Amino acid sequence: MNGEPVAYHPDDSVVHRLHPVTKVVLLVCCILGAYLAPVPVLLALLAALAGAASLAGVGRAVGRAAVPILVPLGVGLLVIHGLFTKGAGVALLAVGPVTLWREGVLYAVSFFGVLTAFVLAGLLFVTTTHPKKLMVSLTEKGVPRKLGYVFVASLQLVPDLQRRAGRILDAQRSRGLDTSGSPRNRILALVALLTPLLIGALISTRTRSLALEARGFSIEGPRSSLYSLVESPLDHALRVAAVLGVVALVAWRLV
Amino acid sequence: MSDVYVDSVTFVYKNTEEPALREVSCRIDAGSFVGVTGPSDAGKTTFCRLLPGFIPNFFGGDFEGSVTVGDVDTSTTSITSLGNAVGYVFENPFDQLTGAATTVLEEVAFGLEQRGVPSAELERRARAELERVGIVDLAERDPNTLSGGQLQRVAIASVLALEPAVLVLDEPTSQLDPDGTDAVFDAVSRIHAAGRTVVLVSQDLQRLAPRSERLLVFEDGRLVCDAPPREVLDARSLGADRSFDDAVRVPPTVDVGRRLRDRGVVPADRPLPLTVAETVEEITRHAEVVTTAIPNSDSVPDGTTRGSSVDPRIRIENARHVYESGVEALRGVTLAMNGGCVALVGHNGAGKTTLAKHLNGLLRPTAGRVVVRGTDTRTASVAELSADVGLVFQNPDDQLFRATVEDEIRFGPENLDRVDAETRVEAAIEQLTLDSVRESDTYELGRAARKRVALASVLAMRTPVIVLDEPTAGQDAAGVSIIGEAISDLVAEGRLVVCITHDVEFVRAHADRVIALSAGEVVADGTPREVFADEAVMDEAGLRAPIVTRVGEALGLRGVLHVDDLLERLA
Repeated sequence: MNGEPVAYHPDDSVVHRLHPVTKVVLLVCCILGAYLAPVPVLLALLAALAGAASLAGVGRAVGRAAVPILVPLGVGLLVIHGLFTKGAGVALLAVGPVTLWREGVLYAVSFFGVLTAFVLAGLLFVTTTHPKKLMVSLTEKGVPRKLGYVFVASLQLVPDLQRRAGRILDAQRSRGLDTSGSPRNRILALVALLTPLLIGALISTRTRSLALEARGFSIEGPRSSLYSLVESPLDHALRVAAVLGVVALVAWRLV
Repeated sequence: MSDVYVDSVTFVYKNTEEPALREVSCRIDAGSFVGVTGPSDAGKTTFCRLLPGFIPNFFGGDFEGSVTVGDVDTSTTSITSLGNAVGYVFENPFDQLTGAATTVLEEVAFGLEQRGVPSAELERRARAELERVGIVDLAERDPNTLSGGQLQRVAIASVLALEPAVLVLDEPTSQLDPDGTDAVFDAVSRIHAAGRTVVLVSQDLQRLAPRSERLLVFEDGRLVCDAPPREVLDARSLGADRSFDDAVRVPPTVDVGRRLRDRGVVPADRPLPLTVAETVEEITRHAEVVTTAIPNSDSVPDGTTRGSSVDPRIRIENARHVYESGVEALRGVTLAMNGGCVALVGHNGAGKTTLAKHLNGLLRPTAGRVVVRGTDTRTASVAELSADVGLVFQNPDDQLFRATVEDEIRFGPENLDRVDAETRVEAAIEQLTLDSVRESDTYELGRAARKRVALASVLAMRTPVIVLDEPTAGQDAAGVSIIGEAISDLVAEGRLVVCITHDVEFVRAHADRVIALSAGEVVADGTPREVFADEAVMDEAGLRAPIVTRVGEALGLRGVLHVDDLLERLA
């Protein structure tokens, strides 16, 4: 297990206070924008994301989660495109039979920039968006309530399954299960890990569904919420600006 | 207020043949506190599932008879509607939460939100329920960071928020430590005092009996006794040929009370004591206490070493362990263990499980060293060390995965490539009385039996050292007795058994040596009599001494470990 999974960081920064729907719009527009944007705009977008993470006080958490994702991706892109995308055939570096192609490196760097924007936007969204408020706001906008619940519950399911998997692995190793070595050993280990994990998850799900039912999850009629969500002028302005930005990039691509 | 009527209910779960309940009838008066007890798989949980309509609305099967809450027939009313009348708290504190709340307050408000309670009222009502169960200070905490006892009280507050007249709790403390158990029982007592009907299932009659107005005892799907606790526990009132001692865990105070009556110290017609205070009161009223010192004739058995034996099976030298999170779970532990039954005690987070995981190499010391039968654990794999140390974890569901009980037990010896695997499997099945279920699917067994299967699968490995994490948690009287006998057999064979446990009565009966941990350090190491007599250590380790020791202390006698110690000093 590689440490704790990335999760919501409670705070009261201006980024945290944005309406969850605004953050969904910004996330979608960031992903589309990063894909469409020329390099200078992409750089500006990356700077804006880094600035927002810092402003929200989640810079370190986002950085810690991003590095293990981005470093292998970056190295892989550089190796694959740098060595095998020859383009116009301009060599940047040649050592024996290995040649690093200029065009390939440029492509790898720009694609890496796009992926970095995806990852940063996603992590910023997860670390600054209160899951329950997100569920409430999506329901208010017409997303089926049960779908909203499944989305939020699945965010919590991952760390829970990680903890259980760790316990199961400990228990099976204590009974002499060898998790290393031959493929047969590894397959046996996987069965011994996955079976209790799945059976445990099914039992938990049955209890949980019963508890939810008893507490009125399926009841008909209006709902209320602990949280009253307000859409500020800043929310409206950011949504309009983000959509216009994407429209402008599409137009730029088309002309 | 709603009386509950259960009338001639027989229920057979889908895909099973034997009824889980047979002709059960009873009435639960509004505002009463009813305890439910009996052996594992006797029908207690099935009975509880009747009240909120889970049976027959969620669990399918053949249902006969009727259940009414107030004037509502549960078989024709939805679970959601019944949720307003009957609140249900499950055994597992974690699984019953919504899994979608980031704070305790959100969790408790969930049911109110579903019913459209005005937003202005939501927070006030949720906080009021948290106040009622004594955890309002946890309102902003993430439920995933709470202890089992705290989570169980969150679950109680969550169902209470819907203001049900009846609260049903199915073994809510079987997975909790003593502090968590006391907190849940205290919260339930307050809820009952405020006028609600409480139906509580537990094997812990020492806590349940004094609070209950009536005890319902189930056996083999039948309600075999419905009477006030003192009558249930007093064979004379039941008729000479009937006793429930084989079906329930007799509270230690009742055990002491019976011995006092058998010896003629206390008049035989006096009601049995259910609390320490009642026991002390009847002794001071009817006997004179001779406060002579109790000789400490106990000793750790031959071969059990505390520090410097030449070649003990387990040697721990100044071991420290710091987790990645920075938490220092062990702070320089030095121990030697060679034989006998060693109890590791201490409150949650004291370092007991961390220490146990060092014994088979699941964890390696950050500093210092752990040597198992001459091998430094840093130089061997867990698979290699598993031939020397078998470790059984608390939750059996974290390991069982094969189709039948017999096959599951075979897993350990197979991993060790033992040629006599079948002989070992047979011996373990016999030792834990699992012969009647050897062909059964492990997940069709109750949790207590599943736990014995997990234990058998490790015993079949025949390791010289066996480590058991909370072996008696959730066991009925028969289960505790079977596990106790198995441990005695292992010790008699010369093996070292290390038990992590909060069950001080089990320690009193079976352990030769007690090691108390607190904040990652050993704070006491001695015989049960020595450790239990040390009040400062018991406080530090978050433990309460066995009942008979507490009775002795209240009478001015230190070091009482057995009822005979007490009786010898009464005139």
